[in-house]
Amino acid sequence: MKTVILLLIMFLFNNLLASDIKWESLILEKMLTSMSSKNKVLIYTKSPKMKKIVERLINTKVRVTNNCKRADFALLAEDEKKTCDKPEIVFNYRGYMHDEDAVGVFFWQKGRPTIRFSLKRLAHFNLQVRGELSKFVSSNK
Amino acid sequence: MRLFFLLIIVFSTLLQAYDIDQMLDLYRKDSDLSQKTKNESLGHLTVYTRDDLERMQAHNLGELLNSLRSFRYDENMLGMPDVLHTDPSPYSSDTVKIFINNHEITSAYAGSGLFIYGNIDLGFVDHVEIYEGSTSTAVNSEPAIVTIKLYSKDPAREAGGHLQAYGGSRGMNHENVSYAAASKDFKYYLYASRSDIRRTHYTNENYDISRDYKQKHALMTLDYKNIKVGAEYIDHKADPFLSLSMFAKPKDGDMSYKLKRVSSTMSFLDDDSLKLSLSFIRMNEHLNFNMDGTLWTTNPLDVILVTQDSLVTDSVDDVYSAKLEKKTVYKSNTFLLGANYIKKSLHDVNTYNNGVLDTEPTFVDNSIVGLYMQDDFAIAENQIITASLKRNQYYSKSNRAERNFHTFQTRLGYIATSKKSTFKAFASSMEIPTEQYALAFAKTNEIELLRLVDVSAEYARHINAATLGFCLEYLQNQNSKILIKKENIPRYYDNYSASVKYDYDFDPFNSLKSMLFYNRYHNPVSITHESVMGGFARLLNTYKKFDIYNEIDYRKIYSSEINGYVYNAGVRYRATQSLIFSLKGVNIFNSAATSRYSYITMNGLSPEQKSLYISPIDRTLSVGMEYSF
Repeated sequence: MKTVILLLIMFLFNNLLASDIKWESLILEKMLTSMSSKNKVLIYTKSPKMKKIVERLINTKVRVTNNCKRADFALLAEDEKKTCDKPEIVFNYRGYMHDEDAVGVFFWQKGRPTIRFSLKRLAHFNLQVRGELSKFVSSNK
Repeated sequence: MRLFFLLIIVFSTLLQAYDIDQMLDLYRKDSDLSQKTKNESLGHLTVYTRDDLERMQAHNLGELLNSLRSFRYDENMLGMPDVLHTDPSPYSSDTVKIFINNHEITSAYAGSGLFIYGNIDLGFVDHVEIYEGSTSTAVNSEPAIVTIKLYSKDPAREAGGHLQAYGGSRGMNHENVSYAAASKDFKYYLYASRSDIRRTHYTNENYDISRDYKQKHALMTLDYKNIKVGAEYIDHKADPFLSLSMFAKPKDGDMSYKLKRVSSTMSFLDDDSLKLSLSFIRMNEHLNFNMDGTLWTTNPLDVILVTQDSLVTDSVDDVYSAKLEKKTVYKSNTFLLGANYIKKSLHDVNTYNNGVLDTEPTFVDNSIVGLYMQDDFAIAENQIITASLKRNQYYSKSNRAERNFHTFQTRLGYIATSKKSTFKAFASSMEIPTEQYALAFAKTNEIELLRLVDVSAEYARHINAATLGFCLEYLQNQNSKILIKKENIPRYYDNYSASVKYDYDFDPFNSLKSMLFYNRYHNPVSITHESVMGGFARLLNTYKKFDIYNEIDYRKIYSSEINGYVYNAGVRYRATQSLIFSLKGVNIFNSAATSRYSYITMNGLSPEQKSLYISPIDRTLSVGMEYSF
């Protein structure tokens, strides 16, 4: 019976989490594919949470690799230390401001999820944001 | 199997069909913080999410309290929020408890903080939960039939600054500013506002009746690892509306209070299952009532001889509270065990009656020690029986009465959920002691324990994009012998309430919410039964960069003049991601149901009772803007 309660709690929590992760996955996927025209986008992450988000990606273009050198992008969870010299997507604004390899950030600002790309850093990695996400490219940072 | 893959493709296509702005909005909706704080087992719940508050352009809490089954926003004879207002009782909402971030706002004298927080500005609020009917004994320190929980904005989601300003009818205006920052272990949110709320004025025999108020409000939350700290300051100055004038002739009065609050919550153990909450509230209150004639009295000689036309009082109202709670799971049971201590103290009271200092000033020194236990027992995968019990030991001492006694609260509930439906039923029995403010109007110096029985059930079924729901509630209350000055009154009175709701989501950005209700309740002052019928319909729509809000609330009390509807409408234009313009009308046709305020006129030497009918909702048009930086 204890298992039943735990399952019920896990189910409710999972449902809540699943809903969050579903949208996080879709938005992240849009960010990654808007910066790459390759048929396969390889990402590197050590964070279990990021791996979970990536597992939910619908588009099979995006794959996870354990080899940083092969990766096109790195995903850095909140306050995770930099381990890979690749263009990064980060998930808090403070990290984005201080990390020169962070080309994009997906974070909450004034109660709203927000996306931002750095024009200068994109250019440094010879990247460009295409399509509807190009409106989030900023020349400041 | 083919169908399975087809469904995946269809689902994927649907998800991909949204543009990035819509996806961000949908993510915001689905991860609303209310999903993490609301608790369906606490009672019959209405949630106003952040999205609702913004699209409705809700400026004050009172605007959210007009579309509920068991009560509406109302004000007492001093113009203070009093949602269970019963004319001519000065305050009737002591069983309505109000919380900010799970800390109760309350006072030593009134037993509820609704008169302070019942119409608070909402600039700092993320979402609001309203539980109608009895709630778990673990939530409220003392029995409640309505519990309102406000949650401030989460600094982790608010990075940066925000400015909001609006102004409108009669020159009313409000401005607020906030700033938030967050790192992994440390985050904070700062908020400050200033309101100059000018209300509709009324006159009675050339006496101006005003409930204008000015308020300054500051709030701070600070989270460090497992510690959450909150601090708040409210400086409120108001005109006294009808004052305590028996003839509805107030003269040159004013009221003010300064509230200071500090609170903290600490969680311990790896699973945060042990929590300690501490809180301190101090309220310095100043009341200055002057009137032509006398203040409310039951002595006919006082009416004729005009014995008191001035009451000036200053007081300090302190509430200390501490609560320790442990959650533990054993087999099919989730236990919640807790203890709380509350000390309520009204002191340093200086009262001048007709300019003469009261030599025996009012004081209150109440301590409550509470022990409670709750068990949520899972009888199946989607069914829970919840049972809770609480014992409060009171050590009560005041200038009117001294008594040590204890009270019990018990509650039993059953909740069954499935993907298509939800069923909830609760039965509670509670004992409520006479609040200190009520003792001032009592026949004897005696604290009375009154029993309250609440039985309720709710069923909701989801049919595609629609939700159809029904709710029934039976409330039995015991009549007070010391407050009701009529003989041979029945010992118990019965109140009934029923509602039907219908919600429809046209798509994630366009929705309808509606409800019809019927209540038959006992009025303890007039010793009669009154029947209330009403309902509401609310449309929230989005078209391109415009959010459009329409709402109609209807209310009729049978056998009375109280009958009317409120029509509100608003539009928000999201010019950029950081700049929003808004326009809103409240009670646009000035047709809201009124409230009754009784008063006396003299016909020679014979007093006659008359009534003023004044709406708690003014017709107000406002324009506003918000800027994020």
